[in-house]
Parts: sequence; C-alpha cells; structure tokens
Amino acid sequence: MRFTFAGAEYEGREGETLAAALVRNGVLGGFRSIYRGRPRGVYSAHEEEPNALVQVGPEPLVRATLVELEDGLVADPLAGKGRLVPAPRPRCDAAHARCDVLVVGGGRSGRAAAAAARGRVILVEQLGCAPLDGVQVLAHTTALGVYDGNYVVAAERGRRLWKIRALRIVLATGAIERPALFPGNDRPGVMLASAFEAYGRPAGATPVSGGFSPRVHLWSQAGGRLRWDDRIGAPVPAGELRGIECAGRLTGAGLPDAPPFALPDGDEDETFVDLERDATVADVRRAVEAGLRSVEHVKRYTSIGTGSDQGKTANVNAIRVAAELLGVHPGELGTTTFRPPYVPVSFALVAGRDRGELFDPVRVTPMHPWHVAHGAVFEDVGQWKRPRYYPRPGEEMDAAVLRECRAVCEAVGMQDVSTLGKIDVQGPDALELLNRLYTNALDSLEVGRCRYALMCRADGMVLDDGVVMRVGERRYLCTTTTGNAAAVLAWMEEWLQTEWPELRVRLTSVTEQWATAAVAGPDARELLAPLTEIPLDAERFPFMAIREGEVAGIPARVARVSFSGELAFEVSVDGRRGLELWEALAAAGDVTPYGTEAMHVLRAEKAYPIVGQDTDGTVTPFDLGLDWIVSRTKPDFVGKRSFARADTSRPDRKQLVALLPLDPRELVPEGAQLAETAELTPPVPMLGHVTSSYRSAALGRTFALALLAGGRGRVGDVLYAVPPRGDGVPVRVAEPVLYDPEGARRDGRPR
Amino acid sequence: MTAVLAEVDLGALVTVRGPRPAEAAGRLVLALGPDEWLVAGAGEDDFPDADAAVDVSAAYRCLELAGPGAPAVLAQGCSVEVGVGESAATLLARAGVVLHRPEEERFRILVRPSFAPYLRAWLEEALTSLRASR
Amino acid sequence: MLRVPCPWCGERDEVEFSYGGQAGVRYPADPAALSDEEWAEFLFYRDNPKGRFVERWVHTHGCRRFLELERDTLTHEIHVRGR
Repeated sequence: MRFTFAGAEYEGREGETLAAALVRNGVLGGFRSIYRGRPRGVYSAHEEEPNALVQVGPEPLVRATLVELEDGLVADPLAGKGRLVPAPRPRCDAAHARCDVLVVGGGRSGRAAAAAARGRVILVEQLGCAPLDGVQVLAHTTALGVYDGNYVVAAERGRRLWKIRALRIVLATGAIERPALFPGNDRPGVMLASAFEAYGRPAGATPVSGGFSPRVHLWSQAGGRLRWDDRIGAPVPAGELRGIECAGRLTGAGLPDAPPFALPDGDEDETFVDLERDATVADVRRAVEAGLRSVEHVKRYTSIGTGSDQGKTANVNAIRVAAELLGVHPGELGTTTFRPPYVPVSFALVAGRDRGELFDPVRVTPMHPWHVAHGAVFEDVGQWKRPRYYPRPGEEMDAAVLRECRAVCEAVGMQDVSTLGKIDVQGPDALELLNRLYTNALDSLEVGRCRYALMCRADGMVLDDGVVMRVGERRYLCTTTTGNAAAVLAWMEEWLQTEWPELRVRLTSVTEQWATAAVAGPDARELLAPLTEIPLDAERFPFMAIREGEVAGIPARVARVSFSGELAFEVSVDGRRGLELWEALAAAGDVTPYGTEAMHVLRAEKAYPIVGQDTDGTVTPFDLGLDWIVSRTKPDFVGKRSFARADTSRPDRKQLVALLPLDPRELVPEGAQLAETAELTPPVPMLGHVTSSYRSAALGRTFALALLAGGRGRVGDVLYAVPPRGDGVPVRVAEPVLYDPEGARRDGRPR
Repeated sequence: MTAVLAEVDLGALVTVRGPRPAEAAGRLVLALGPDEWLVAGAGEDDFPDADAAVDVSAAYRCLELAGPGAPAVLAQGCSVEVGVGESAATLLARAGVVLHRPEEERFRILVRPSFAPYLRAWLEEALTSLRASR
Repeated sequence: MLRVPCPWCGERDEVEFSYGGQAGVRYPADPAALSDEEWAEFLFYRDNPKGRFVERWVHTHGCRRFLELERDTLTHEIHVRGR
C-alpha cells in the first residue's frame, strides 16, 4: 500500500504502524520539537512516543506508533501541538461489555493470563493482536482508565469507546523503556533499544536504554500503592487491590537491572528528560535550585509530564534526576498522580452518538406533524418541542403573538397542552396522600370536579402546581408542569415509599396516555358544541367540572379549567388519537392555534405564576399572593411547618407584583434587577428581579411580573428595572392582576 | 452480522400494581418492579383485586429488534444483558425503556411515544454501524 | 461508574439511579411541636462522614423503588442493606 507523509509518498505493508513504515523507509527524522524546534525522529514503538506526532485526517494529534497503516493514508508531522480540523466528524461508536476476566495487554503474560482464565474473557491490546481461542480480543484498543467497581473504559482505534465491567482485571501492561541521559539523546536516529529491536534494527539508528518503567498507571488509578524498586530503578505495584492483579513485566519481574544512574557528563541543557516538552536535566536542576522539593512542583516548574504523551518516557527519569540533585532516595519523592485517560482521547469519542440531532432526545406530542405543517416556531421546554407561536407568512413573532392573544380574548383559540405531566392516583388512601402533599384542603373535592393545587417542599417553597381532578371515588388525576412531570412523580413516590408505606395508594404516570387540546375564548362553546353531545352551558358544565363523553367521535374527558382566564375547555383523548382530535377541532370552525408565548402573556395578565419562571425554589405560596390556596384546617401537610419559620414570614420577602413601564411601549428584559434609583452607585441594593415581561394585546401596553422585596406594600412606587447593559427602565409597581381581576371572562360572554 | 428493526402493536396495555397477575392466553406480563407489572392484552377491568390498574395503551410504543446482531446493537447503548424470556426496565441510549427478550435473537423495546422518534433514529444509526464494523 | 445493587433488579450502573441522601432521617412526628432550630435541623442538616455512610438511592430508570445501602465515602465500596 501507499501512504503520504509530509507530502512525500512511501510504500507501506499490511499490519505496519505508520512509525514502523517510516523507519523501514529510512525516515529516521522528519519531526521537530515543540519549543526548540530540534529535529526529531521516531523514538519508540508504542503509546509512549514523545516525538512522532502526526495529524491524520480529522484526528488532530496522534502518535505515529499507534496509527494503523491504510492504503492512501495521509499524515503530516506536528511539532508538539495539534491542529483542529474544521470538517465535522462522523459520530463515534460505543459498546458495553461484561466479562469475568479483563486482561489489559496482549504480550506474553497477558495472553497467558487470558488463555488460563475461565468464563467470559476479554483481552485488550494497543496494537495488533492475534486471535486467542475462547477470548474476545480487542486489538488496537487502549485501556483509558479503571473506575469504581472494575469499570474500564477503552478506546478502539479512536472510533469506538468500550465500557467494560469486569469481575476480575489482570493488568499485563508491561513496561516502558526510558531514554538514557546524555547530551544529544534526542537526535534523529536515537531510539529506545526495544524499539530498535521491534523495527528490525534499522540502519543508521542508535539504540539507547536508561532502564524500564513498569506501566503502573491503571494500577495506580484504581487506588493501588506503589513502591520504588531499586533494581530496575522505577516504581512497581505494591500491596493488593480487590479484583485487580498484576502479571508479567508490570510487576518488575523479567526486567533487566537498570544501568547505574548518573547525571550526564556534559551539557545538561542538551540532555533531554521530557522530549515532548523539550525539558532537560538543566531544567530539573533549575527547579531544584529554585527550592522545589516535590515531584509535583518540579513537574509544574519544568512542565515535565504535561505533554500529550503525559511524560511516559520522562516521569521516572525526572524523579531520578531530582532525587540525585536533592541527595535523597528516589522512593522518597513519590510519583505524580495518575489520572485517566491513559492516552489522549478525542471529545468526539467520548461524546459517541450523543451529538447533533441525537445529543438529547427531542420529545414531540401526537399533534406535532400538524404544528410543523402549519409553520409553528418551536421552543424547548425540557426535552419537548412545544409550538411557541404560529406565524403567518411574513409575520414577526410580536405580531403573531398579539394576533393569537387577540383571538383567544375575542373569538376562540386552541393550544396543544399534551406535554403537561399527568399522574394517576388510586386507592383507598388516595385522598389522604394528596392532602399530605398539596397545600389545598381537598376533602371537599367531589367526583367530577377539579381544583388548582400547589405542592411545596418541606421548606415551604413552591415545588409545582397543577390541577387535581377527582375522576372516581378513590381515583384522582393530577397534572404537573411540563418540565416537572418526572420530578413530581418521583417526589410523590419518595414520600409514599420512604415515609408512608402503609398508605394504600398507587401512582402511575399517564402523561403520554392522554393527548390534550385546550380550547379557549368566548366562542369556545360555539366551536365545541357541534362536536360533542356533552352539554357545555354554564349551568350543566360549571367552572372546574369534568365531563366524559365523545368529542369528534373520540371518547374524551373534558375539563373546564383555564390558564388564560377566558372560557376554556381542556379536551383529553387517548394519545393515539390526539392528532385526529386536533384536526377535527381545526376543521370545526375559525379557531386560531396559539403557542406557549401567547399562553404566557394571557396568564401573566392574570398573574397566574409559572413554576420555574416566577418561582425558583425560594418562593412560597404567600410570596405569590396565593394565601387562599394554603389550607388552614389541615393539621399538617408538606411545607406547613415551614410557613411558621421566622424567615418565611418576614415582611420584606420578595413578593409577586406587576410592573408597568412608564413608557407603555418599552419592554423590560426578563431577569432585569430592580433598583431604587436611576443612578447606580455600587453597592446597589437589589430589590428583586423581573420574572416575566410581555406586550399585552388586551391592555394595549407592555407589562411585567416581578418578585420585589416587600412588593405588596409598594404599589404605586416607581422603581428601575436594570438590564445587564444600559440604563434602568422606570416602572411603576402595580397589583399583580392586571386584567379581569374579578374573573368575569371565565364563563365566556354574558347571556 | 445483521439485525432488523420494526414496530409492533401490542394492543391493549395496562399497568397493574399488586401481586404478579396470572398468565393467560393472549396475555404478556412484564415486571417493572417488585409489585408493578405491565400487561399486554388486557384492560383495567381485568384486575379487580389489584391495588391499582391503569390503562396505558397509548403510553408505550413497541419496537422490535431481531437478528443475530440484535444483542450487539443494544450493547452500543445499554449496559444490561437481558436473558432469554426475561425483561428489564433500564436505559437505552438516553431513553428509558422496558426491554423484553422473547427469543435469543429477538428483543422488544417498549418506549414512551415521545421518545420513539429519537430512539428509532439512534437504532437506525446503530444498525448502520453494526453493518459497517469489521 | 459505581455498581449499585438494586434489591429487585440486581446490580446496575450508577447512571440508572438518583441519589437519595442520608438514610434514616424520619419526618418528625409532630412538626408543630418543634422549635424553628429543631425544624431547621430536620430540613437542612445531614451527616457527612469520612468512611461508612448509610444512604438512600432510588432506581429512577429501573423499578423506581427506593433502596438503602452503606457506602464507604472514601473507597466507594458498597455494602448491601436492601429495603
């Protein structure tokens, strides 16, 4: 096969690494060092390579000793620094595996350990590896790290990330040869003796050896201790680890005695300790003479060990040189901390398939195709895509939202509210559980009725809100906000399982069992009546009642709840027929689809809070002005005790108010801080912040909701809403409910 | 190594709380927890003595992965190995699923409908990767 | 990636679970009878030992059941307690 290196073409052989092919082609140089620009060449035969760094295709920085040659490969030398390739990389793969024995290292002792092991056996080896009977061999795979419970992450060819759980790990990772320390030990042609042998003793090359350092990295990552072995002049594994053992040359056995150690005879500034970092014996001497005593400090001072090779050929020599200069035994200095990954790994490999469109699940409702077909602009609510608004051709967002709001106030609109969480609560103790978790007194809730309810944490702060529907004697359906569906179910389960396991009640998520369309506006009855036999007049279908029947020929549950403040019916059907329902509603008359933005505006005019927007975990029901929702008769419920805490009843707590910009066209940014004065001289006391801000069609002006310290006592005051940049916007504090404070629109047009 | 992905309609589904429901013709019982069962081919009214029974026919979709490569496809995104005839509630890629393995080379993946498009896309890519691997 | 032993589903990877904090902290029998300090003790204070710690986990992406176990906060060794 042919390959290209630094623009020149060479001949390569099957199974060769790029480094081996270069050396065989007589390329003993071809590289330069990072800082001093010194000519360099291939130095080793494995992952410890400090010189031969290349860019291959999209890979910004790899060692030529680990690059598997392929026909047509193009590689360019890099002087110690990678170069990002702008072209997007395809998504990388992953694989989970479990085994009885994982052997790391495919040399003699690794293969022997794998062959002798029983059960499911996996062997990983960095380079090529012959198959082994009864063993799953992962060649060209480097173990990156050992984690809790013998969890090993390994990179196969830089393209697949293995996540392996092993009952037993056998580390047979062998040893890395150290350079000998003499001036010019970095010149092209100088290479480690073991590499010299591996490459078939290339002509013109000079083999050198300063001894061998066992690859203790994974053992150390797993928490294993090390001890200095004087004979080989390097740390070796010591002590024991549960489920991990060492074999072969990793233990020190079979390694030759280290040559007697001596500082170089000659120019220390030409004697390299860390070739990748261009750090020399002279640099170590400078560190020691500067007063540094520990290996970690010497490393930081000299940058030894901080290169992409992580000092594999450098660290032990650095310890030996420092020890010699300090006049101490190398074992006293310890080693630097070993952390994963063992070799550099690309973000793309770690990210795997969780990139681009698969970065996170995109959740959609059954009505989604209709929203897309009708030009909806979506917003992310948790993992869901919800229509934010439906612009007509050429319509900007502001105009679309105003149009949608106007339609809901003057005619009829419809919103897909399927994303709200729904929890089925059933059993003899269903009411008891709900009474303990919600602030409301729910005893009086009859079958066929529903109630807006609030849930607090034990510290009294609002957790979530929703509607509790009593659909049977012992059966309730509780809705939650979209983003909190899972959290609320988990919260309820926590109390039920860990505090009140004696309660006879069971919880089931039915969020996706039901698709729901909210039909809202004064003409809502006119739109729905032809589609259903359910009587819709106020006498037979009062506010907060539930009725069952058929809508558009589909079995449905209809609830008269309203988040917009207008007459509204929420129609729920089997999720599989959600699109059918939606299409039937759209065809039933002149109904305007509206999105989350219009919904936000409409509810804000009525000061209905949105959990997570107007609350942030530090807001109580009283702060929101929802005193009425907190039962005074229930002896206890989650959060009740905290309402009596001194901090929870402070008069200067932040309270929900409305803000009216003095300029009725000026939109205050959400998140703007509230200040007393226009001039801001630090330190500026922050009185609160703007939580929601909109243009209102009904009010014909802008308005905002805010949490303001002592807000309810400041109605009429003028304050300043200060954005991150720019001047404060003057606003007047107002009672929070700005539109239809008597709630008269809720029943639709008067007869 | 190949595998094929398809969607299967399990018909009526109900979540039952209480002791394990009895097997019956046309009925499949999957364990979700110590006292929580997903039963295919039955309705709420079939379990009058259970602590709770909730229709969830619209709350799951069922994907079926079949072929000798099926275990390898799942192993790309799931660390649980399901034995033949067993089921497990776990994660596949970033979706919560219930896995059922009726036969050695056939897996059923129950997933919430809202996660189904994501999971299908993930599985299609995993299948492509399987076909391309050496 | 810890291996967490769920009493019902068997050992699973940590990622399937959510952490549940210190075990054995009971909701007070009569919150109204507690002083603000005592109530704050229940709300906000938890042990943080170096070494063995009994804690709760919940198998969020599995059976959704709570379980208790003992974990060494230094070594992450887990000792099963069940529930």
